[in-house]
Amino acid sequence: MATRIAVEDLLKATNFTRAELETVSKAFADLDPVNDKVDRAHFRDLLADTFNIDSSLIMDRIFRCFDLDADNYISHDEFVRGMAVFLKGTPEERQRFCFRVYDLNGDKYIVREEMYQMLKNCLVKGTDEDEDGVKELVDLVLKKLDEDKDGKVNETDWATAIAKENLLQEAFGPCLPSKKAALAYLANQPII
Amino acid sequence: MGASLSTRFAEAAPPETSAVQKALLQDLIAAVQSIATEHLSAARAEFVKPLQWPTTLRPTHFAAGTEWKTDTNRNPKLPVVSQALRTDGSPLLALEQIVAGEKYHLRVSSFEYLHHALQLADTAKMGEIQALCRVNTTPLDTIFGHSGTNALADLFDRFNHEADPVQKEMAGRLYRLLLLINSFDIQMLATNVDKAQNAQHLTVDAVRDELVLLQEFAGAAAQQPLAAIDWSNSAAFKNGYHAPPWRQIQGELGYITVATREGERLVVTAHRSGYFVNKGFYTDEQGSTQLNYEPAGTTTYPTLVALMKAQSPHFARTIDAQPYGWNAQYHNASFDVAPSGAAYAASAAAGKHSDPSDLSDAAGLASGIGAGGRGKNTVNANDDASNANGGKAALSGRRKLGGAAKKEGGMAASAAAAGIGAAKDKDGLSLKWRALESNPYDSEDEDSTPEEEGSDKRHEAAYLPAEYYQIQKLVKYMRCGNPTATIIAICSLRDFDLNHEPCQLAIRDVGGLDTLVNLLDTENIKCKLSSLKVLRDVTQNMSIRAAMAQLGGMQALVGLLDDDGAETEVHCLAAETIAHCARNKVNRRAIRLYGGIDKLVKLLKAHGAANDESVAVSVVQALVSCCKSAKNKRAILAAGAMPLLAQLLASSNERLLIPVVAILQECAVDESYRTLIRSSGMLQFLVTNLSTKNMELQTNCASAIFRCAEDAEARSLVRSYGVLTPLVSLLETTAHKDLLAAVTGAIWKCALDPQNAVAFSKCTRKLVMLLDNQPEDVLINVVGALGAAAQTPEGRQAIREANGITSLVGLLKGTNQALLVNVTTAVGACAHDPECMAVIDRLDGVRLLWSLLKSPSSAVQASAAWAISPCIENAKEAGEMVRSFVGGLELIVSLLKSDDPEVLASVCAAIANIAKDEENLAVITDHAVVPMLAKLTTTRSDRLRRHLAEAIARCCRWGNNSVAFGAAGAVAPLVKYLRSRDEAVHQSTARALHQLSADPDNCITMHENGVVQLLLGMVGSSDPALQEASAGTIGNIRRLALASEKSSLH
Repeated sequence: MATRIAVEDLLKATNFTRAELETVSKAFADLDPVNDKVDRAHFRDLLADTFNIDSSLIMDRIFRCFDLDADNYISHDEFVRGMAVFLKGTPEERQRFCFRVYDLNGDKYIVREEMYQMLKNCLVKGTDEDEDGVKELVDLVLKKLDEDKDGKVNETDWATAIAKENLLQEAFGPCLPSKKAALAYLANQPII
Repeated sequence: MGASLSTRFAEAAPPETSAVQKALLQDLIAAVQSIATEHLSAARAEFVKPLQWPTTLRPTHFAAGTEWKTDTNRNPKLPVVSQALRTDGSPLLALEQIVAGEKYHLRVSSFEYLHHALQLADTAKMGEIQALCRVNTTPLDTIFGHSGTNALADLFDRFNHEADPVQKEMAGRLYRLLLLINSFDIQMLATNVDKAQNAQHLTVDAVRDELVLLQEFAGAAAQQPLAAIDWSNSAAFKNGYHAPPWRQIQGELGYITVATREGERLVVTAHRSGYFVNKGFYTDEQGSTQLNYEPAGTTTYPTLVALMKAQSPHFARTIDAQPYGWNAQYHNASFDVAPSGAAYAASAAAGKHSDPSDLSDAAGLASGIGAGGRGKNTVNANDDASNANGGKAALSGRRKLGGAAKKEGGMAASAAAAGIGAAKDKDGLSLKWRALESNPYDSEDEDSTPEEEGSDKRHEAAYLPAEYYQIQKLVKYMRCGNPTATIIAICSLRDFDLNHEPCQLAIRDVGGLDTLVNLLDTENIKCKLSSLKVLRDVTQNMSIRAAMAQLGGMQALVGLLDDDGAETEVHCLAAETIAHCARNKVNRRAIRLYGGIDKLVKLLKAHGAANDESVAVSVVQALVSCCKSAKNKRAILAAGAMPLLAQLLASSNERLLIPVVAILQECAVDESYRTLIRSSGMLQFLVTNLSTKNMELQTNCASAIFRCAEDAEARSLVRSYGVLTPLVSLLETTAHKDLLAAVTGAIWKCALDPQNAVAFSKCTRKLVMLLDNQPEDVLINVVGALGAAAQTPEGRQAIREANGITSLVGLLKGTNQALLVNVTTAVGACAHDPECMAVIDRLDGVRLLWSLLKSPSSAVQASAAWAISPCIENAKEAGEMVRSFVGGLELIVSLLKSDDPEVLASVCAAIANIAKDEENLAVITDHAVVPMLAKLTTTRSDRLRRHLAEAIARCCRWGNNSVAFGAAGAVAPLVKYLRSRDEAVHQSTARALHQLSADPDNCITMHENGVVQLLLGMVGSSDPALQEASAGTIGNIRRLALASEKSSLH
């Protein structure tokens, strides 16, 4: 069992208020009362039920982003730090977070194949041109994001493009909670 | 082959000889001559069957010679036969007698003898050849025993397979002859092409075809020669033209917008004489897009391809490298030409579009770009073919072509067929470009059917803008994708220029608006935001706003305003979109009905105090658009917006202040707003901000003051706020017309207050200077201000000294009614000053005023009549002047029939002044002024009563007019006037009664109506004129009573 960092340090490291920190800590405890760490399944449930993020691919990626030491569990500290960005992050933090989520293989580039993976379920099923449609979507979004025109999106591209068009922050599927949901979670209210 | 020759035979055949036919026959004669003289061996070739025709030649023409023998006696049937014989023994030339002595037929079996015969005919040559043509409709058949496309090959076969050397020799000669004829054929074809070229002009079909062709090469991919090409306006007129009718008469067919790879956007005019680049689209003052039809350069190009090559280096580089898959599609163009006429039609068609100086263009429409690019290869291929297989290759080619030609009705195929044989078999080069056309046929023929459907679709779509497909695709993703796809699609959509009308309309046309409006109802905030961003931009377009009204978009937009948890950005965008949409009447109404105004005001309440002013700015902008209609103004007031607006004025943000003041100036036409503006201290703000640096804000402030100063209270208030100095100093801003109009308007209204007028007297000269070269809305206000200034003697003097009267009288000739009302008022005011009046008189101003009585507008009539009164009062020899206006008196009396009380009052006042002159009084009495005035006495308007009584008083002085007034029943109503509260009415009425009381009957009527009691009260008035008139009337009545008593006593 991982040791916890002192509350004061956590407060310093995140932008949570003390009350918020307590709420998040309690929520962490509720997720898996036994282990003091959260496994993938529980975390996915949290994302799906509370924050309405339903893409399995994205959920996994968010898990990876929370799980800083890559031990397949999210410790308390990881959870608090992750949630700090997830719920209350500054625009820059959120933008970086999104990039990390979308960079499926973690190579600091979002390439066509990754985009295709994330967008392949975007269009209504059953049309034969589905595949072409997704490819075209990839082209479109790449055109918007790829500032240096090298056929893939690096973090600089991403930052520039998002600054230009904030709507593209979650270009490959929702990976952040809505404002309402975040506020409700921090206030420890049930989401209706 | 030989097709044009045979065509000519056929064409020359008809008996009526037109100029064209003569030319054809001349051609034929020349051809025969040149064959006979220059190609002897060919000319001696024996025809398979002789040509035979009814001739005018008689045996006598055939003087004995070496060539033939005349032997009338030996054989009466054949009076003349040639010495030379055919291989079968019959003569090469024979004159045959059909009917003895009258009718002869000539039979000829070689060109040599044909030529001889024609020479003998001498002047009758033409008739001979025409007769020949008429009878031999298929001369080639007769000559060669073969005709049509296979003749050459068949002859060649015969030549090759002939065993008998004599026969072989003959066949060889015939073959050479055929080649010769073909070369003549080609010559004719070439001259024909030349001729057709001289007469060349574009047709709209040709333009469309070339455009459709080029659209094949347009696309987003980098290797495409063009980015996009299409008609600038998709709608075509009934005659197929895309140019508007007034340009059609200039010979313009349509306008084509081309986006080149270089990123340029050209607008090309297709003119009957060719293509040129015009000056493109611009936006006029009304904000709509117009095309400047002027050519941008001097060059006119024969084809669109040539133009594009000149304009776009990329196009010139890439177009020749294009694959020629277009061709099969292209030759579906239906030309239904019978095979024999094919060459003719083909030559015409080819000629129409060709430019012989440039081989790749030469193929023109028919062969298009692909052929140009393929030119070299094809030429080589043809060379190879003619070398290796000779006639055989040509034969097989032609068979295919024949099929294609029949199937497609393809004129180009036949043309190629006609040309190819000769070209390959003779020298294989002279007509190579014509042969180019044939090759694609062989390879592409099979694909033509599916291509055709495709081309049809494209053709239909050819009228749509280039962005259309992209937008359509994006809208599809928007509609059938999940929110992620939707957002990507919308973000990409925003890459298009959404301020560009074709894009806006394209979004509407593909059903994008529908989807966007639906997205407003989703839960996903990003979808809402992105949709709003697009909607905000596209609703700047008028027709999009109308479409929004139809879609019921306002309900969704209004719904977004009260979403408490929503981000402020949503509120901002929704309000901005509403601001655009509310310029449409239907939308304005819908916004009110869905409670949008309440919600906007509520938002203002929520955000007004906040430091984030962006919401307030958008909301106020929305309100500005909404308050254009009266009901909305009331709704805004009812929603309690005024105190909020007053708070907003504390801001220093000009972006916020400008729309707030815009609302104020728009709403100040409503009195309750004006009251609020006065009471809430906004008026002070408006005055203060006249001195701001921002011109738009200044304009709005001045305009709001203009509207508010309608009320006397506001006029004195603004004076106390010190409005006068900034207004006067703003008069210097002559460059900015809107501001100037607002400022002069404010001065006008403020100067209606006499105290203000004194303060403004300093700027009278400046105002007079503004009478020149200003737009009408400024002029109206300037003249209004001068009219106000002229109320004081100092003002009048200032105007006269600044030479303002000349300008004012000049403006009397205008037509703007609002301006005329002000000008007449100003001139009338000036006329109070005798010196000014002298100037007006000199300029014949009174005549101009008088003619304005004929104005259709009653306001102008009234103000003109008002102005006439002081003129008559102050003019020297006024009576003479009035009489000099022909029909003037009749005109002014006839105005008493008007329904407008103001006109009646003003005309009565004028008549009262006119009646001062006895002669004029006589004239207007003749025009039945008395019954007309009497009829008006029943009025209840004090203003009219006063002037009416005055007029009656003056009119009584002529003849027995007072009796006439009594008879017309004017007396009893007049008595009632004395009960009015207006003292001015009392005075004039008393005067009228005094005049009327000269008649005893009138006295009785007055007495019966209880006038004495009323007049007794008037005698006690402080007004001496009233006293005197009242006393006089009572005296008259009393005297009558005394007289009657006396008479009864006696």
